[in-house]
Amino acid sequence: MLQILKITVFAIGSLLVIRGVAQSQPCNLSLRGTVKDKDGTSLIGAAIWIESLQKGSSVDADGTFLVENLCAGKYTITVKFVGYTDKTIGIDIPASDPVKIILDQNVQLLHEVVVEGAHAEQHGISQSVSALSSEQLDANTGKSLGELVRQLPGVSSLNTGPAIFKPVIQGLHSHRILILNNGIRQEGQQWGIEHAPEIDPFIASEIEVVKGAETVRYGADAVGGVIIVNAPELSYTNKLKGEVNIGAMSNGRLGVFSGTVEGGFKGTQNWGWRLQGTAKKGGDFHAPNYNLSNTGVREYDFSGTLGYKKNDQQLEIYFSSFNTQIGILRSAHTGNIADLQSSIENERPWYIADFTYDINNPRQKINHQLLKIKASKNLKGLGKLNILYGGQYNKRKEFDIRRGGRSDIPALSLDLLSNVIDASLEHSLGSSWSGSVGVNGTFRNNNNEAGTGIVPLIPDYDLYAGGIFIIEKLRKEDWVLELGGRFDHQYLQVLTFNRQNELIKPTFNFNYFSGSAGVSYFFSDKSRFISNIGISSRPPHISELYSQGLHHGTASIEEGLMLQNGDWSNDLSQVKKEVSKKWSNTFQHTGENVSFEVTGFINLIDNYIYLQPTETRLTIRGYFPVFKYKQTDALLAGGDASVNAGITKRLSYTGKFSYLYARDVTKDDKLPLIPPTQLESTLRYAFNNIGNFKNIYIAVSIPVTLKQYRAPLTVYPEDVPDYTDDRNFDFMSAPGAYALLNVEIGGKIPVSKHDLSITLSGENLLNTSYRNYMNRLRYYADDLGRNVMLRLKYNFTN
Amino acid sequence: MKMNRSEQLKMVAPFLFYSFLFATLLLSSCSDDDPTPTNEEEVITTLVVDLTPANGSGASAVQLKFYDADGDGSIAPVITPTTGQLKAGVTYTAAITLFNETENPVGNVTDEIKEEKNAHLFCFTATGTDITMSYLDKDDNNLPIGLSSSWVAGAAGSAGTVRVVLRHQPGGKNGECPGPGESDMDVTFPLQVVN
Repeated sequence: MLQILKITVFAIGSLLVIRGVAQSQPCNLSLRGTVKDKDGTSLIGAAIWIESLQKGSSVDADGTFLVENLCAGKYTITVKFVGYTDKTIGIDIPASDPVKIILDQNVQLLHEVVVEGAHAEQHGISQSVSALSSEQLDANTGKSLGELVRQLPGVSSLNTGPAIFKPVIQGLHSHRILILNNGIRQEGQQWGIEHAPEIDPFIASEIEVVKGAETVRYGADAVGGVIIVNAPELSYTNKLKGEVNIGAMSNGRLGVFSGTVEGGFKGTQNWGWRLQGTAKKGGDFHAPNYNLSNTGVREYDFSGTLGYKKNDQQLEIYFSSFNTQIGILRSAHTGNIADLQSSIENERPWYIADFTYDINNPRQKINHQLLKIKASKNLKGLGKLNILYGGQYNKRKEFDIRRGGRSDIPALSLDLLSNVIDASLEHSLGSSWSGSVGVNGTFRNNNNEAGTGIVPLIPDYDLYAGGIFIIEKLRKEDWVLELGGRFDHQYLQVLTFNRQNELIKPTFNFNYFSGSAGVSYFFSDKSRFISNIGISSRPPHISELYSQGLHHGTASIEEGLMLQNGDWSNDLSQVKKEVSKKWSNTFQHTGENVSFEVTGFINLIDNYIYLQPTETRLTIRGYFPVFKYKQTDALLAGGDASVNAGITKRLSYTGKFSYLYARDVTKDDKLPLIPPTQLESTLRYAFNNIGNFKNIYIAVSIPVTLKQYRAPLTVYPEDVPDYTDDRNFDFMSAPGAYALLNVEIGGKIPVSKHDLSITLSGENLLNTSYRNYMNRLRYYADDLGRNVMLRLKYNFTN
Repeated sequence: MKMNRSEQLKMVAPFLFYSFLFATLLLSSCSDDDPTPTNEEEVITTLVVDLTPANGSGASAVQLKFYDADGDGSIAPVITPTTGQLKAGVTYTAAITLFNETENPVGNVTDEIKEEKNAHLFCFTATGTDITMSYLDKDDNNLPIGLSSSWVAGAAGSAGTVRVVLRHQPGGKNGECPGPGESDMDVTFPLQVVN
């Protein structure tokens, strides 16, 4: 499988190399000039392009540009700059004087670029978007994707110990969230509550989170929002550049190293490449008072990109490999509810051993391989055509504590193969309408490897899905309107066994629509109001339909909604689509001294699917609560806010706040695993340069997590056998509120011509013992104690 | 670079072609064989406690049985007898056997426990009835196992229960109940001591 991927990448790569040999002519004239706006400000970075020669240049820091090796003649040159209208002029070479070019500002375009972030084409203009900048990523080197994005307002995480973080966007997670890995929909085993995204955050230069449904653009997986992980653009110059990141953490004695090199090829401006790799190793983490035994992590990732860019066409091939092994807290493996009861009663986990890097059972081993091919081309009179292919191969093995020498046999062994093809045409109609139409195709094959000796948690299946969408934008001076619609069809064939152990192949066909309308109104250059209303549908996921098994982490039996009276139901009509109707409003202000953003939303979800307690079942291991996926109507409403204020020239304040209210409307009950209210305040002080040290700062932040007052009823495990109600419950009451103290000090120092960034930071510096409601291991152990981290980053250019 | 539509199509066609070629390659590389049913190897469906009275006591043998046909599935287990009766003042030898009857032939779980005796321990708790248990077997570390035990029925009284728990304690067994590890089995039998 892997072999095939490699060979094909190589084959395609070589084909392209042959086609891409550079053409040039021996002429030695040059063109000089300046590019300015109406006020006379130089537009540094503006691009100059000579279409007929396929060559260009850009405006340097001194405000001038230079195109060399030109032959005498007449040329048409195009000048482009972000936020400005393109300009095309005719020029005679040799030119007597340096050319002076003046560009006009494009107000609407400027709004879009400045306010909506770098990847505005990947999400709706009327969505609330939060981003982690590359500086923020640098200051958090070594953390997993889920741990990174939970720093954003409205984003939290559902964790299983210190190494497994699942992102939660405004209360929704797992298959309700889409992760775009370099433009490709990540196809992993996201259904499980202890399944983290299979992505190395080191590939990213920026991570954006769209806090609203993007089902029109991406289909059912994007009901809850999108996490966009984007690699930087390839440089396409024959300059060798690179970056080295080193991080060390005291907690878990974790070390991480990541390196990137990139460059182009001699004699051509059309090719670019990048290679990147990450290695990470951590041992047992520790809580303030004890080791969290068996929570080590090991990760080895690498990726490669090869890009070809010529005028209006572009091709990119990207390959990445993500390989990790994660230990799960030994004490969190329970045999039955009596074990869970004693874990809850005891303050300390029952198994505490000396620190080790060894990872024993229970553990997860995950390999995720991805191949992406992206091509785009401008078709005159039609627009820009983008074609994206993604092939992904995900292997997940979970090892448990087993009897009879079976601990080396995975308890769960899943192979997921997926293929995604997206094609879209971006077009503009006149000066104010623009949009894109597109089609998506997805194929997924999920296969349980035989020989585990345990009935699989989710069955084998084949899924084919196809979708067609249209998004149109109307741009006016002060506002932008965006409308979108989408239709999808999904064919799902499940291969499972009935009670008589006969193979059955239930087949589902789902048709579903999504639509959204949004408006973005600019009060001024600095502030805007955006409002988005959308309807998104999602067919149930295979895990919601056909899962079955005992969850050792929560001593619960979990069953899919197709399981009726002990066998798989034949009545496929009882399965309903989940339909989310969300209205979200955001006000943004970006001032010189004060910037803030406030979002409020309401999300009504019909046929919302979640695990509800249905019965208590006696087995040979004792009593277990049975949780079944059921459909009800739910309401989620809440708000996020963030503010950034300069107090003095050097001192600034950042505040973040998230609140969420959730209710099962049908049952009039509270919903489980809803993130509690969070707020965080950060003060940051920037110092003068000290000798060679520059950009020195200190930041002190206090994240506060309140108690989840709307947690479901508490039923202790020992009371489960007598519990007959159908109200949602949790085995333990929600942990109390806590505040932590984090400090970060950083700066840059030049080392042989380039900057070395140094960051020293401490999290939970007061070593506070706390438990986090959103951590599934809170039944067993405290959360992480003090963690001191040193991070180094060095950029180099040859 | 002026092109007409058909030339444009020529440019785009290879991309499409290669994309679909990939898809086909990937698809054909995985076999779509039907899955085979999984043999649940670790399930314990049946626990039998054979209580043999000491010779000459005049009491009869008692068999306690817990049978759950489908492991974690929804078929309710069957516990026999409704209330087991032990004779006051009699010492019984208890032999435990465990089976996995979802397998064909029936899996003998007792042998697995014997093989991993250094990591397993049976714990017995009598509640509301006067029965005292003691271990009759030892593992390699001279710690009890509990496959064989002695149950002494004390004074006659009303019905109570005896709970039999199998603890799985890889690497941490210390002979104490419940000790470290997790429960692989947790069964409660109604029992009464009669005259």
